[in-house]
Amino acid sequence: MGNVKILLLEEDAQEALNLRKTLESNGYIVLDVATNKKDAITKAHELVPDLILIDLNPEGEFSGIQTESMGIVKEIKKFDMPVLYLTVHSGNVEIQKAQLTETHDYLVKPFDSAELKNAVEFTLYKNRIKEEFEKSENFYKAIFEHTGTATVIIEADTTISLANNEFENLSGYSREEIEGKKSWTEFTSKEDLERMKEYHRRRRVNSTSAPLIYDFRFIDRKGIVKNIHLDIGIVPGTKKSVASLLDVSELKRSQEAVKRSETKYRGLFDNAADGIFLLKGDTFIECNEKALEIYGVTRDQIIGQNPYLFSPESQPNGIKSKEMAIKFINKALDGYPQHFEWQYLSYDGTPFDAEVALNRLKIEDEYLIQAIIRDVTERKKAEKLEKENIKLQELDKLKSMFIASMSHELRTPLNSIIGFTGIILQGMTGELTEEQIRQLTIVKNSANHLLSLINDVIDLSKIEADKTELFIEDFDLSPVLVDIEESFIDMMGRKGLKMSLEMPESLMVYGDERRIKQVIMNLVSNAIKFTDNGDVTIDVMENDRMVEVTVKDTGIGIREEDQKKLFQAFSRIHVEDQPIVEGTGLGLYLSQKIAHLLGGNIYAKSQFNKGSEFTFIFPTKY
Amino acid sequence: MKRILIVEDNEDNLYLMGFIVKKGGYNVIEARNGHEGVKLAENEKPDLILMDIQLPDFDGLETTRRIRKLDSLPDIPIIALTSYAMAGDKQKAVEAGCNGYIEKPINPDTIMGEIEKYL
Repeated sequence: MGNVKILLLEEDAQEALNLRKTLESNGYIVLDVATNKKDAITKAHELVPDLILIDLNPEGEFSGIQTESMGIVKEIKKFDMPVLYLTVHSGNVEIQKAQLTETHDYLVKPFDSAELKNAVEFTLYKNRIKEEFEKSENFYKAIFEHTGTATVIIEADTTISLANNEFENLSGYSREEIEGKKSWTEFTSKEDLERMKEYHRRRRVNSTSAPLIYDFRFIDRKGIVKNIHLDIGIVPGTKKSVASLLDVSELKRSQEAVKRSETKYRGLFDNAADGIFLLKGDTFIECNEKALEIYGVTRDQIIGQNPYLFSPESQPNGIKSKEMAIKFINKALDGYPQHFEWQYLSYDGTPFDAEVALNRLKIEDEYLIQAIIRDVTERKKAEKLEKENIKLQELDKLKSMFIASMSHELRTPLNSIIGFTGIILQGMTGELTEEQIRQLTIVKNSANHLLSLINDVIDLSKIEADKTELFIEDFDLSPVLVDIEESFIDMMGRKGLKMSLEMPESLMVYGDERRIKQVIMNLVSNAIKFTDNGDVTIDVMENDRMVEVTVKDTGIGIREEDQKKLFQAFSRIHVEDQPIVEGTGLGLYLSQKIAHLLGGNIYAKSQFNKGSEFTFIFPTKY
Repeated sequence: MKRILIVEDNEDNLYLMGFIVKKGGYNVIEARNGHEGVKLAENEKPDLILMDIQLPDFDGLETTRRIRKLDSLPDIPIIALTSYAMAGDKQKAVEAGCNGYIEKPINPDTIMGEIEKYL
């Protein structure tokens, strides 16, 4: 450091001379002497001294510290130079204050040469320290500003005393609004606040007693929550801490997005309908839930194994499984997707057929094989069933066609038989003998029996195939009942039975007349067939929109154990010592089916040797 | 003597019905299919037609409909004949234009009774 250059501010020429002498004798260079305020400012500006020495004369230009003279102090301060005041008294508050905060000093007159030198040196020293400090402070301030993260200095009472530009951006407040005014607690979410207050307290007692790095939720000016990664350091020897805050909201969001996406694909993978494997070479390295299900294994039992361990020794075409599997895998690894059928063995040794697709996947510079395995056992079963089903449908069609042709072909010749026997029996072709009449009657009855048998079988197959067409119309049931009664008069007369019919004068029904008639006729004909003495009564009534037709006889009745067989097909109930009654064994079965078809039912009540009662009910409106 | 046209493809039935009708005192005209039935109805102008439902070309219902379209035979009675009646056959026959309906196998008395209703 060269010679110190001093600018002297002194009104009194003699004093100036004395001071110059004293300073120069101490090795200082006196650049110039200013004698008034204006002069002082101009010279300080032009000469740039290392120090300004100013004699505060109570009466002169540089006087009146309390009034005008403060003007010079103020002006001098602007130069940011070390200043040494010479004063007659030390009680000057302004100077004392200046001395504390600035690199100013003062010397009380009178003083000797050594005292002046000390004062000059001390003032210069203070200035050097100040400069050093400022340099260092600027250095740290620059670091503080350019940490790249929001950084704050926190006082023991939680106040933020310093905040950088990044923190302004993060919080949405200017540092003027923050510094010394806001506490970090105002930026902390409710959920994290108590925990962090506790950390803050503990940290002041012992800096290592609370975590220094952790995440918390930060609330900015607009109330937006940000995920912050916090890093705290205690400033040594103080209760202050420095906190840097890194906004990881985006990072967290993208991490969550990755996680969600991963969960989603894992879900797709695990819930896939097909078994999916990843193979590295010929080793299973990953698989989904379905794959485990198909093979009947746990993850541990299959990961790390080779696919051909889950195959029989040879495939159905005779080729060794291992040989073939390796060939397929190698082709897939060469970039040719493979698709083939394969027979596997599940863990318990059950063989199953599968369709396999192999594709090459590039994962982190490595080629893996993705194998998709579809268990086609069920499908093959379904295909077989489908074939059988088609066959059955064809058979069913054939049956329907057969029945349709039966109905015409079988009945046409019967028409001739019945028709011509009728003509002959009526004597239209000439007189007949007793014997001829008897025999022809047998022919006619047999033909009629055959006809009703055919008709019953046709009805039955139609009902069973759900192909019965009902012909629903409005009709009066009463004349139908009269018809029925009349058609049985001959038969009743021959057996010596009486018939009574109880019914309303008119009973309008909306239903299938022919089917209803068929059922009633069946019941009446049964009653007559199984009754040798007494009577058959038909009771018809309407009850709650249902028609009830009750056919009651005084015949042989039905044993209780036989009653449940009544409505079964081809069940003929035979009673010992009784002649076998003619019938197809289909009548009641068919009648019951028809009753159901009409939305009705047939109920039977019977007492053996006393008689039977059959009730046919059906709705008045189909 | 009144004339009855019998439209029936089965020879035995044709003979059977013809026999009954002749015994009843009518002349018989025979047709063995629908076409012949329509032609004979138009040309011969019978007094009544017995119409089998199952015929080889078009059925008795169609034959009836065609006869009903002829201007020359506005009110001729047509009686349908069919095997064991199917659901709605009676209705279908009436809709096609038949006046009556007889179920096979036929009974000589029934058929004559039905014919006499119209002649």
